Amino acid sequence: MQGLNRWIAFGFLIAVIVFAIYYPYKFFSTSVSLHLSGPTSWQPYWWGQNDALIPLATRLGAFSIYLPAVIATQAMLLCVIWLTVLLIRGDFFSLRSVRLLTLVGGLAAAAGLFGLVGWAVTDWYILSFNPDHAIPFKLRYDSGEMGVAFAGLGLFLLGRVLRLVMLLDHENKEII
Amino acid sequence: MHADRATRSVRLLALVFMFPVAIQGVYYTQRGLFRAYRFAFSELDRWNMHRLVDPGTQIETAPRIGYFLIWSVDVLLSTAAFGIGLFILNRLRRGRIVDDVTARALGWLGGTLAIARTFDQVFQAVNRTLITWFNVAGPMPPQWDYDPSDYKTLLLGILLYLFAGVMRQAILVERENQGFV
Repeated sequence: MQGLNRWIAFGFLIAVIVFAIYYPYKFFSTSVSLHLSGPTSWQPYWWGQNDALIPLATRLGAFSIYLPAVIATQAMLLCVIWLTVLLIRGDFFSLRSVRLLTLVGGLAAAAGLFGLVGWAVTDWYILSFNPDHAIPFKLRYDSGEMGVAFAGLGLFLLGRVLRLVMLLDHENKEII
Repeated sequence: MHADRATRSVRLLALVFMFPVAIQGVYYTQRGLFRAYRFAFSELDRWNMHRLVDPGTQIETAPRIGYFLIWSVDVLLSTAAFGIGLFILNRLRRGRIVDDVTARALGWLGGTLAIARTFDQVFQAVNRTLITWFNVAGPMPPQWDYDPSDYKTLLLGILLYLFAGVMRQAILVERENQGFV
């Protein structure tokens, strides 16, 4: 990798590292104060009952529903960091980097789908403890999470395409 | 032998992915444009009675057109990404895989995704300034709204752009070796 693309890759690496630190920090700082700060932590919100004391197990349930999406995202970001380092080093046309790219695509698609389901389950779960606002379970359309899932599918397919290019190159080399 | 199997797998995957991408592209576009149209034109009270707008304020037509145009750009940028995605999937489905046009289109897809998500963040930030433009105290300052899914898609778009470059280089190498064969 040379020239402009190398500089883009450098800038990209820094941006991904910053996001990989900020994303879990933001999620855990918000979720811990919302769900794990005490039995009255749901009371100030419209979906919480004014006088309800929520047991720790119930709040832990709410806290853990969105965790699969966060774990998939964090794994994806770590793979992206590793992949970008390989890219900058020039090790981009290898089986390792192509496999990593496919993995990033799969993890992103999983993160998007887990996120989509996670928000819907969280709403349904939390409101089921409030008789005034209980709702039936319903998947909500979230264009942001869908975008992540589709971008993941794109990267997954690109990984498969690059693997094919590698196979063709390998076959040609064998003939030579 | 392995390459044949890999080609068939890519063509099949492209065909399968075409359906959800097409459905999502149409649904996202009509939903986004309809939302902007409803807020700007068809349900006037949505803006007039907005919680951030001074009571009794009547919003004229010009800012409504401006609002609709701004959000249309935001929606249509993503629509363009879906269109490019479908173009690439169709080429892959037809077997044009190790191909410079496909690799360039992948770069365009990554770039368009990154630009669309950046614009979305910026438009989200200036949205309340636009809505409160006619308040007596003046418009509210822009406010950054943290949306992690926008950032994730932005990063994936840049990665797609970088690897489209890798694919173009790989195709060049493959062509050179093909020349020897």
